[in-house]
Amino acid sequence: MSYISHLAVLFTVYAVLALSLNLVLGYCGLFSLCHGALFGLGAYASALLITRSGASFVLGWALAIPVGVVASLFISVPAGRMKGDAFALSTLVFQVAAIEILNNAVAWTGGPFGVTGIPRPSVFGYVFRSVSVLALLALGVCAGVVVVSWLLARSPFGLSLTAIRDDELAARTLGKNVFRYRLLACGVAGAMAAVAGAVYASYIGYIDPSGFRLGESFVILSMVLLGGAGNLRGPLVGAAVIVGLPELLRFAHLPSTIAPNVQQMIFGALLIVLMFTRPQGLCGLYKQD
Amino acid sequence: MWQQYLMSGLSNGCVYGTVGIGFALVYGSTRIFHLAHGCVVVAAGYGAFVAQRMMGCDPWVAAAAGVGLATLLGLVIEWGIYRPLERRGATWNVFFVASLGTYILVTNAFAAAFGNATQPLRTGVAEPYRFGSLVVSQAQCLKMGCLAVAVPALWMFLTRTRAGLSIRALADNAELASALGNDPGRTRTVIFLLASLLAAVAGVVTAFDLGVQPQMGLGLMLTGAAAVMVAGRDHPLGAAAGGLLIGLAQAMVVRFASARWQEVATFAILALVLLFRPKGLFGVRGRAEEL
Repeated sequence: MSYISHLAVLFTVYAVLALSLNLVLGYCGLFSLCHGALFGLGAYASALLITRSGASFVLGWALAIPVGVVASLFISVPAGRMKGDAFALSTLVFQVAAIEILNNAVAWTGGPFGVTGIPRPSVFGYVFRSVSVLALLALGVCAGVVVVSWLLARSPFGLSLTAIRDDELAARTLGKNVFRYRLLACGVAGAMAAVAGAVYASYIGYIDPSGFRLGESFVILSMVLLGGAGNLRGPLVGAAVIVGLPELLRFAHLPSTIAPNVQQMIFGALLIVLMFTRPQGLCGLYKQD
Repeated sequence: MWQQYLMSGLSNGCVYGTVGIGFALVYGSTRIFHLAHGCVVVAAGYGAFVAQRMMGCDPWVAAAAGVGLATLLGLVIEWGIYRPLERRGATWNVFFVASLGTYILVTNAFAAAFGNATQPLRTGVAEPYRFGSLVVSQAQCLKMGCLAVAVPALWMFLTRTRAGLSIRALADNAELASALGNDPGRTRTVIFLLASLLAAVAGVVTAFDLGVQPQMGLGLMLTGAAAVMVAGRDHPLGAAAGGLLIGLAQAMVVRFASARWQEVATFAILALVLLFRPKGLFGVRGRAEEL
């Protein structure tokens, strides 16, 4: 039972990350290589607040939201007007810079040693040690994020984003302020990714910068590209694939040293094949064309 | 003492420049963000590793083997992935994703085969050359020699030969170039051959210097891409200057601050260029929206 709960927590963390990237990739049409850093910043913000000041997990998870928004501003304000590949490079700059700061600001973040001893969520002194309860909490957060994404997608804001994504010039002629829409979309996406980080930190209990590097950004990007972007099903399918594939591979009895590499090889091969056969991903809507 | 930092910065900059020129050749002509450039670098390192450690070849033969294998890999990526996608009319997003997938696939294949740890290619330390108080290692000489040979050779090639001119024509206006009789397929093959050759040489030199590990290509490729963006995408050889600038900036950061902030220096320069001179230092002044 706790194994299923463990998978459930991982699924919710990755689902929230996928929905966050979906907002940037599927609705704005922009590649983001910095979601690993946003994930990490949310995790660190929540973890540092909880461990340094003994605050409740609710405050920690809530702090992740403004931290995510502010972090996204560092990307969207300078790069919000840039085209596709320049925007991707700007997110790369942010990713590298953020992780290096997390790594080197030892006095604040513990540097490469990370933050240890993050407690499990507790309410009025009662600690939710059981993974199942934490899984329920995480699923609740994920459900909230799904509802927010669904509302955004159906709202005029979401429709304007798809209009900008499909034809920016036409949207401009209709009076849409592209820069402002990008700021807002990146802000929401940053908040979501940071909340995913906060949940992850409270579950794992220990975080360090190495788990949030460019490689992690690639994993998050692959997940959304595999599952598909532009609707709600795609990111969830992508998260399910990312969490489920390693479990399926257990049946292949690969040696544990090469199992992660084989998983990644399968992702890479799937990405290539999908670009040939189904560019919108397994269940997505937004085709890269 | 500062000469030592200068030497280190110059030699690193030469590696970044070599990788960057290859990246610029591909990007300028085909607009493909060739992330898989990084796996060509890695393949060269592992090719040399296998040839030297497992088959006991002489270092120069191993280097040639690594370069050959990696160049072949680059060509296979072009023929097998980019060319078919181009025929289907793919946009740069699709190429980016396909390149990303290729990078992940190849790098993890090497990691599965050889492990994630750094494998050294040499045992022992080679005798460095001394010029007064300045100590220059063999690896640094090799790195600087690569760029010193590559830049004039490429300049002659791009300005004096037919193939070089057709590369520049393709970069300028692909449709018009093919309408005037330049075979785009053959030109692309030459582009990827040159780019992969440069990346492979950089990979082999880095492997002999620092050992080979699966992630070594990513950092080099990204720094090469940064060098291209810093110098401007219109001039492939400008990436050499961009790479040297980044190498020197890193050396200055090590000298005046701490080695921990080296990576940040590279991307800080890139950020400044993207903000204030989006077309690059040697490009025409333009707005970020027109990038």
